[in-house]
Amino acid sequence: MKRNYFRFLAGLAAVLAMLATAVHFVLLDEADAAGRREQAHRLPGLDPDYREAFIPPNIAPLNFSIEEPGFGYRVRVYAARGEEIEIDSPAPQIAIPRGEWRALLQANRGEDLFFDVQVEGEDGSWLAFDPVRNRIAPEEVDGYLAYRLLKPLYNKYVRLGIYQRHLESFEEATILNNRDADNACLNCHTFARNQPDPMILHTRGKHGLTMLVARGDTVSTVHTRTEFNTSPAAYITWHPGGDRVVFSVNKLSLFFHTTGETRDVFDAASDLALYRLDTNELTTTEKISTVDSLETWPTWAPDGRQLYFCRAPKLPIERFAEVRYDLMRIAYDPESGEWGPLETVLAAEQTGLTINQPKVSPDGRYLLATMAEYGNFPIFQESSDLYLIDLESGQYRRLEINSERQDTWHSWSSNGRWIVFSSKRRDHLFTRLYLSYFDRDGRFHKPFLLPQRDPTFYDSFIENYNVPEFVTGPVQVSSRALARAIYDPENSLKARLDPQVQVEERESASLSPEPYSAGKVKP
Amino acid sequence: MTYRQRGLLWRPSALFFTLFFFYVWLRLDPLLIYQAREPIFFWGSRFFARFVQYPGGPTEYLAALLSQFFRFSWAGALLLTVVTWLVCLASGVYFEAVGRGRGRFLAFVPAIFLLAMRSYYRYPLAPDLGLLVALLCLAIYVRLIARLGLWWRLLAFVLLTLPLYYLVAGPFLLFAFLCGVYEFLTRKGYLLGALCLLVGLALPYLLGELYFGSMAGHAYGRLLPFVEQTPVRLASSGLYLFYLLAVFWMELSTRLFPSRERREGDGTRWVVPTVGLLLLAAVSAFVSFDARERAQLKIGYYAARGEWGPLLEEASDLQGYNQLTVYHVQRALGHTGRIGDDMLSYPHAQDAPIFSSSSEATPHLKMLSELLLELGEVNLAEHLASEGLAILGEQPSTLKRLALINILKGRPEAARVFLSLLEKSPLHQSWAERYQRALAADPQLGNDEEIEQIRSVMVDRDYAGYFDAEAILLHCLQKNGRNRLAFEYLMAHYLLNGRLEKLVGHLGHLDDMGITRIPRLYEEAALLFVAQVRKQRGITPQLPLGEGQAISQASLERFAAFGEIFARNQGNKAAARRLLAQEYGNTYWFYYLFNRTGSGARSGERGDSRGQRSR
Repeated sequence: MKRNYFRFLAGLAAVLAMLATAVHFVLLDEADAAGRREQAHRLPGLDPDYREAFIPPNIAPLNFSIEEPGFGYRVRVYAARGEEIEIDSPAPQIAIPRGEWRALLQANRGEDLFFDVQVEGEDGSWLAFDPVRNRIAPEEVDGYLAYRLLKPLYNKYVRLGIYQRHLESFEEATILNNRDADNACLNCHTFARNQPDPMILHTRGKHGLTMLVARGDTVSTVHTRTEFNTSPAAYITWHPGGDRVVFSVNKLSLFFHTTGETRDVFDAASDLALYRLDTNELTTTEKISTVDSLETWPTWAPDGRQLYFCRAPKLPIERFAEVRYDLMRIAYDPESGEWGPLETVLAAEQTGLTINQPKVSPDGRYLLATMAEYGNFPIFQESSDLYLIDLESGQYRRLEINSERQDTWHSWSSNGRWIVFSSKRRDHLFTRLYLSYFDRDGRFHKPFLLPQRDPTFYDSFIENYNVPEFVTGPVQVSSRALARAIYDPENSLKARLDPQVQVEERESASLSPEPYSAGKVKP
Repeated sequence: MTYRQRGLLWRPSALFFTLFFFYVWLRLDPLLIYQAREPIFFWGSRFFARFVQYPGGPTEYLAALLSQFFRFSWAGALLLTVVTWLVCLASGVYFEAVGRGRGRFLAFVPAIFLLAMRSYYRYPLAPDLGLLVALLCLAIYVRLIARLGLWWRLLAFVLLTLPLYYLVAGPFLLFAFLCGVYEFLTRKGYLLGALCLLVGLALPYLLGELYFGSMAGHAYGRLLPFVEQTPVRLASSGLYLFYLLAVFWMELSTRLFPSRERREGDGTRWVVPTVGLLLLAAVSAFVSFDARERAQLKIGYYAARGEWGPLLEEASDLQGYNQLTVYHVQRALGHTGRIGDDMLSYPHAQDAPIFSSSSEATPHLKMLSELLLELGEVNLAEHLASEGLAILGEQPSTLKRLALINILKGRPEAARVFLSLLEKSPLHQSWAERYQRALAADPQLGNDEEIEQIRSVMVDRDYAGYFDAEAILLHCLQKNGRNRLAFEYLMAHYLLNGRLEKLVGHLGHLDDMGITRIPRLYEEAALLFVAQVRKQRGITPQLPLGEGQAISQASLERFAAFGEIFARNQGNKAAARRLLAQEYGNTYWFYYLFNRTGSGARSGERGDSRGQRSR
């Protein structure tokens, strides 16, 4: 009996010893692995690519996905000063808390910002990547960005809307959705010197073709067609004085290619006109509205004494690939309303490219424009790139921030330190918004994609960002007021043509600055 | 179970809704509702957010989700049956409360209207769900809330109205009206009754206008099916009108026959009214059922799956065509190499298009995009698919096509965007995931048979401008001279538009396409061409036929016989047409002379051709 007892004890001890050994090795292995941290000696893959970018100190958190396989993710966000942020996540999507992010950025203006990324392996070990560096610029960006969202359009549209995004957060508010505006086309929201008020936008639909002018919550509608211009206003620029605008009237038509970018746009006729909101008078001069030339894309210099625009000789559509626009400038006296001499700032012959969408920097020193192989609609030209023209020296250069795809539709911030532009660089089809810092030495820095709360937002978002404009504050006019102005305009004006304008016979123009029309969904 | 307990008599219910289910499943076939509407739904907050910004949005969201069940006929039928049963049940509860036991069979009447509306395949689910939610709230009100005192009822009504209006929009009006009527007539609560009616009128305006920013028309009309100009307008107006008339009728009958007792639902007294109801339902189904629309949708279903044999079989029984169906039939014939033989055995009209590159009606966009992709015109396929995306929304078939187009155009990153969106679709997730994996392994998708087939015919030279059908097809043939589908379509285009010289000029390419025997319609066109040239110029032109190819003796004999009959009746074209239609109605000569096929009438968007196909 006693022997059996000892046998039993010995057996038990042996089993326990074996178990302990096994447990020891397993735990030791895990402990070793868990404690192990290896260096990858490279930067981690991040999407969006928030690496080596310059960012504003008031931008919303740059949430991102870590493009590395793993079972756990750890990110440390830090800078020279302030409290670092640590994020542990089982998923590769990293959402940075907004309050801590904001405090960190504000405390480190002009300094570097780092992301330390670690990824957990299957065995519990951690792989550490080289720190990702971004730079916090000293200057803030305007707090709001207004843009239009629409699907890749050809001839027809159904749903589109104009929105404003608070850049310090992820809040997006609707300025006007055409669901509330009887399916009208909405386009060309325009602000004076980045101020949210007043605002102009165009509508086209069952209720006519009108320009909406919003001041506060009061919206007036202006019918801009006169004997001079059979088409309504298209591309608009506010005079800095806020009492007049210059706009183009265009005859645009869509045509197609069988390879590459499918869509293309031809402008058969275009002129410029000045409209005074205070007197409801439309005027022009033959210098900016010649019958044998195309004048479009107007933009005022910040002092309101120069008007820049693009001009090209009128050619038949068969020669669409030869249409190249020069950059022009005409002097203007706001007091007398007199136009001065016209001059060529940069000729297409010199660049070999067409020049579109000129935008003068707020200090008046630089002009940012899009150049492409031909034409007037750069978003459909794969060759579209951003170019900077130094208005003092006359020198121009292609920006280093361009991509292989369309880079266009740009806008300056009110302090002139930031630009936003539309680019198809991410997937070659959808336009996304990128912000780039412009330093005091005249250099642009690596742009970054407009951040979203969900870092995978752009992966499945099939709408285009269109006509981005920086605004210093939120647009105050309500959707309701804008919609009501379309349905039932109370303050409706029909522009009066300056009697001194000679009306020559012109080609009938199109009804829109865009070659789209309303599509009907069968119920 | 008694009427008092459930609001509906259980035996008539069981019989009625069992038959309803089988009718919807086997006769209407909800799969065709899916085919007609291709309802869009994506998991995730972004899609949901679209629906929270306006009254009626939550119901539309729920309808978008539930509509996915239409992809499976039995599940769709079950869904529609349950929804209809609940509508009737809730109606029964209300009628019971208002009529004090009278008119218990009235509760089934909404099902008859809903059945008629459902016969229109494009009718969405959301209005029915909106009506259902409104009626369920109404049932709750008369069953539970009505037991409370006046002030509690008032409070409950107010608390119910705000969320209900937000949930269902337009059908809220019915709820408010019927609540008001109930308070007035049954409870004699005149103040509350008046308040119900007032709130019903005012709330949509106040909430829609002040909070949601909807314009008044949308605030009142959303999810009311009779507001839209659709074929269901009559039936849906009838449905809403029925509720109004029913309560007044019950009130009237209560006053006229106050002594009549409530009857229980046992015994056999339910049989006769049930038979009457079933007869009414049968009449409603018979009158509203559109067999042609069903067949056309079935053809569309087969076309979407490339099942050309069943498609042509279905088309052969069809009494009339719309233009989309003509396109489907042409495509099926093109894929089976039968255009040259059988195209005119199906209804066609003079100058009927094979397709045009622009100004196509919305329903054609998806099909033509698919066809252009098969032909190799990838950019034009992208054009029409994008138009479909803009107008019809993110329908899965469009997203799939755009993903493939972007792969073909060397934009795998863009393809991934469409695929990522499709991954959020409950029914298409696995397809999208499969392509995501394949793209990750090979961005060109070089092993994908469909992609490689299109790549072999894909137009790679840039033509700019606007293109008619002929130009498009010639582009395809310039890229790949053996693109048989493009060739068949080009010949079809020449046939339908009477371009005999061009058709004859292309006969020499039959060998390139691997066609050894000259198809019948080409022979007939060639004979007509020869006869015309001989008559006009006095010469006999040589046909550019391949080695060993010749016009068949059968065609020669038929041409002679046709000519003889026509010559005999030259003074009377109508008589000649009647005589020739039976035997020669599917010949090119008949089509050429009478601007139509003998078997079918003109095709039109409304499916207004009524011809019977003949063989």
